[in-house]
Amino acid sequence: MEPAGVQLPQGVHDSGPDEAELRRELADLWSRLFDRWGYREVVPPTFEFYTTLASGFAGQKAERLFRFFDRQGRILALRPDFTTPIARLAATKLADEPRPLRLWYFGSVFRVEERHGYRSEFTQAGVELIGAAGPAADAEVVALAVTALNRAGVEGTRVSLGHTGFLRALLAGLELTPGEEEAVVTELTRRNLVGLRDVLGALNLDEKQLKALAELPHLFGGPEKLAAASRLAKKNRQAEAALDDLATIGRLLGAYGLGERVSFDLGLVRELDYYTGMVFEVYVPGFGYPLGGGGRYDGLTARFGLPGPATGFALGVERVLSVRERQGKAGCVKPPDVLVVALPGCEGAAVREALRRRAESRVELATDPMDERGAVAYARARGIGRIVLVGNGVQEIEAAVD
Amino acid sequence: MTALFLALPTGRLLPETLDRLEQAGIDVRAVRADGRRLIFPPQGENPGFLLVKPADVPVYVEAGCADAGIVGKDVLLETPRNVCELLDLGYGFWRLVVAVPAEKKKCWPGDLPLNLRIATKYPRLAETYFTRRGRAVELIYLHGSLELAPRAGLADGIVDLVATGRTLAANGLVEVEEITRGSARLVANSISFRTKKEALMRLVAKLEETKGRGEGHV
Repeated sequence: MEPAGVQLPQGVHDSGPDEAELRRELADLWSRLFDRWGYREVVPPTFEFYTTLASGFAGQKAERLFRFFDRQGRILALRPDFTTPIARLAATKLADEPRPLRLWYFGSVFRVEERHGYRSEFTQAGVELIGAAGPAADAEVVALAVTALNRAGVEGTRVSLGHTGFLRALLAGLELTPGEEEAVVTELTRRNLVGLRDVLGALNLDEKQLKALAELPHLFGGPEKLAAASRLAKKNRQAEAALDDLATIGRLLGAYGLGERVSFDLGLVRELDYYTGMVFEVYVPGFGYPLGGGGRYDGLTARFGLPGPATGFALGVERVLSVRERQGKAGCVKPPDVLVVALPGCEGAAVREALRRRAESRVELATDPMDERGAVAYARARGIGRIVLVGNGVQEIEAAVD
Repeated sequence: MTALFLALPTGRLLPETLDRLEQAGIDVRAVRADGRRLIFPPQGENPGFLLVKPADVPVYVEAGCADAGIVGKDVLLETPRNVCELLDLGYGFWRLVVAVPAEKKKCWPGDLPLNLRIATKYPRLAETYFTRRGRAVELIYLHGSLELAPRAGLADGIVDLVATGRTLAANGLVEVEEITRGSARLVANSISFRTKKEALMRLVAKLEETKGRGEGHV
């Protein structure tokens, strides 16, 4: 008979002991780091009302939420990110806490994914800095995201910084219909230069407006790109404010010692709908996906009744693990230090020996009966360097391990 | 500056792709010389190549295994991936059409069976198209030789790419509606778009110059 139920649904994944250990290490490392920067952990629920979670996933993106019903027929959804639940939490139960709030999280998020090879459940770790306006707060979250990757052993992290306000300023002057605007933003988000040209060509724009939008994806590089962007925007006050904001954030990141890692990227448009200011992505050259990103989302807590500024980031834990593996830093998986084996009749003494040694070493107590030869063979296979045989006396044996 | 890695589509797009790359000053002799090899490492500044099935080009590019790739827009529409579309290459033209057996042309679209069966390799595009037109159809997903399906009684019509229309005619099918049309595209990985931007934009400029020069194999 065929074994039943051995397959997993598409998009989910088991972490075996090795991967689980690496994930745990990362979680511990980052919890200490975030604590040092003054952030405290929160754990929002795995599912809540669909209307709460839909904030960052409007329109077509709503299809990406796993939805189901409660007993009253109300629509629930699995959280597709942490930012929205944490904004709700900050605006409601934590409304009376002094601002700014510094919060961090680590856990699974869920997005419907029909394409093979993509995950429907993946792990995000990140922070939200709520109630803080201004470039210093933005610089702090960017710096913390890069520091978290550095601590995790990821080499060569780079940051690209963009600004929603700059694009909004360019679009505001064009008097587009919401549909036209969405089409432009969609092509920019995908960096689809061909599609962008087609969409822009179909609009009734003058030469200068056309050039400014078509040039946007190419505004990537050092501070000189901010100057180029400023020329394109033609003294648009809102655009200038966005560029000044970016320049300040860039300078502050210099003070964090990250100046070399930062590029300005005015063509960066993040997929989610709640961003209102600076946006950023962290990536490693040669690794095809961004490792994470974030930005400012000043309107989100207002949707839950408490207006206020906020900024934050999320890192993709699986991507961080995979880039570390690619860089040859998978982390060594450690077997126990000692194998304690009871000779026949001495099981009680072996238990006491194992308990005593667990004060300072990692101890495996053999549960199957084995003799000395069997113990040596087993210790070798498991990579355990030392065996303690408990009989009438206690005998220590070094097991040769490669 | 490390050289680029390009994913190239095997099959009908390859000959013209190699011609265009050559006109753009890229050395593709190794690819032409060895029809069985799938990976060609970069030589100095000259890009390396991965030869993959057209539908797999965006997969390799999205994962960053290739910095850029050349692929038909039909593939990008049918299975969207997070890749940056840099250039319409102006060759590999195709049209996606609805075709039915010639004798049924006069019945289209009003007088066909209530449960219209359409065979296609492009279920997503076909479904979107018929949904927008408010027409309910039963889609049958096939891997190839779609022209056979109506003749063999498997479907009432097909949704397929046509370049010249000769294959349709040879199988007694006629086009009744065009769904969309397109051509080959240069796509790039979103990280490479930033980290290897200059090399990519040089490639875009050189390929743009070759546009309109080729004869067009398709």
